[in-house]
Amino acid sequence: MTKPEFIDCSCMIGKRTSLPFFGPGDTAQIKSVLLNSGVNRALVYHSLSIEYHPMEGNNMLLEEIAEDNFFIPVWVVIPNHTGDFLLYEELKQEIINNRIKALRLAPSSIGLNYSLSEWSMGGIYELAHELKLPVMIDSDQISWDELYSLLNRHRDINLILTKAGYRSARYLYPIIDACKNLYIDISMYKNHMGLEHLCEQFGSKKFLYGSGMPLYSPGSAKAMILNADIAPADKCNIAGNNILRLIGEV
Amino acid sequence: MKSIIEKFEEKDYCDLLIIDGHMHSGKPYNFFSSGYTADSLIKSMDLNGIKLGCISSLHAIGQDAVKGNLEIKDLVAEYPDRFIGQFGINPNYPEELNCILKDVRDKKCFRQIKIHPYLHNYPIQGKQYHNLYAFGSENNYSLLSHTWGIKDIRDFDEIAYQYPELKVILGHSGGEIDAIMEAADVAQKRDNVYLDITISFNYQGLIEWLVSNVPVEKLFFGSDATYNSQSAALGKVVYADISDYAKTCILGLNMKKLLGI
Repeated sequence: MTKPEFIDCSCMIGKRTSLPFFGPGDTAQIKSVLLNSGVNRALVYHSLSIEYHPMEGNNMLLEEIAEDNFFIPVWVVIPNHTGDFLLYEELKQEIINNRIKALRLAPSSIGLNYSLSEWSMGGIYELAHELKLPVMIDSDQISWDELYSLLNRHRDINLILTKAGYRSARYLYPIIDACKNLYIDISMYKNHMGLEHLCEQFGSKKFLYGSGMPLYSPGSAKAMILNADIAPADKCNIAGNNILRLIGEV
Repeated sequence: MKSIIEKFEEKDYCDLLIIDGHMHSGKPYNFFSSGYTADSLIKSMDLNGIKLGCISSLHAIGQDAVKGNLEIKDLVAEYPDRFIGQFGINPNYPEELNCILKDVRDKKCFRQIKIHPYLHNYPIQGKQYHNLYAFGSENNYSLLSHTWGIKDIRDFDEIAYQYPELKVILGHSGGEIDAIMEAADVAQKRDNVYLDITISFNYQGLIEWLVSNVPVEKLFFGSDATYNSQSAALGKVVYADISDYAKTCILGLNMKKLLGI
């Protein structure tokens, strides 16, 4: 039987403004916990991109993960109307040169504080479309109605909803059904027998392993896949194949 | 000899005792859970190598304790080797209390008490609960209570002092970070206080922190099924950076000792 390869789609590295009380506090510790939990690789963004500014955070990400193939870089992006980010062509070249595999949005007022509407983010969406980059967003950064609207306005962009909670099924099921370009990180969907039911309803290709590190246990979501009552091929899809497909690595 | 991680990944559960100390039967009231039937609970336990589950009915921590306790009585009668029954009361209906206590006394299916002061919006130091603590203390029923926040922990510190024969298990270890720290202190201080590690957030590092700050013999594994995934709850213990001895204690040996089985 093929052993699933675990690719973490939901991990933040770097030092924190406020430490997660129990969790690891820097990139080396985070990698150590992931390795000990049997995670093979991780898509990562940097805490500084959210807690300070994406310009510095994205560069710090590249510095911290340089030469380390365990990490797959994700950049946090913001609209550039205020001139404090990158112009379209500059951003495009940086993404290509640095082999950035996905973009992350954090639009809420507790994030980077901007609108997801076209008049604000149109250029970023165009770029995601042009470079075929999946776009990630935490569930606490967007309302369900905003998510539905975004998915329908940009059916050509694959959107990964990270940290959808275990109580969210009554929102999650209809939006997965309606929006073929939506993918779900299961790091927080720890609903009793929930993964089995999701796979029964929608197949396994919509769901992705995520650790939720540094806040949550990578072994927790991993165990949910390993012990799920689903076919081995479905476990491999969720553990790693689906995210590899989304970032163009298979 | 195989490590706990190896046993878990190879599903070699034969000499690994796993007891889930915090389970529920029934449907969660404000969200969808697909696996609320008895068959689904058993299936999940089998998938995860869980030999025994301490279980209360969501009716018993909700509106109708009488109905809930009956549900558990039937469930344990159907699966006597898989479930340990926990009975509950709704303290807002004091007229039910004596009848419930008379009904559960000496019934082998019930070995523990489960209360939920938050859902019942009833004070931990309230009169009906005191009647229950006295019953548990006199009749050797351990008590699992939902706790969330530092006030709950301080209230149970008092209860544990007032009822030294009552074994008190702090559900979710207090849930919030400051409450977990307080709960660790109380579990150190009081011989009759234990911690249930069930927390839906499954914080990275929590298990390591608890093992460093609380005698390992005082920690019980729990999942909160049918709300939460038993596999996810197990994963945070199995992959924690603690000794295999500590893992075996938390996963089952401690509860086995408490229950005297």
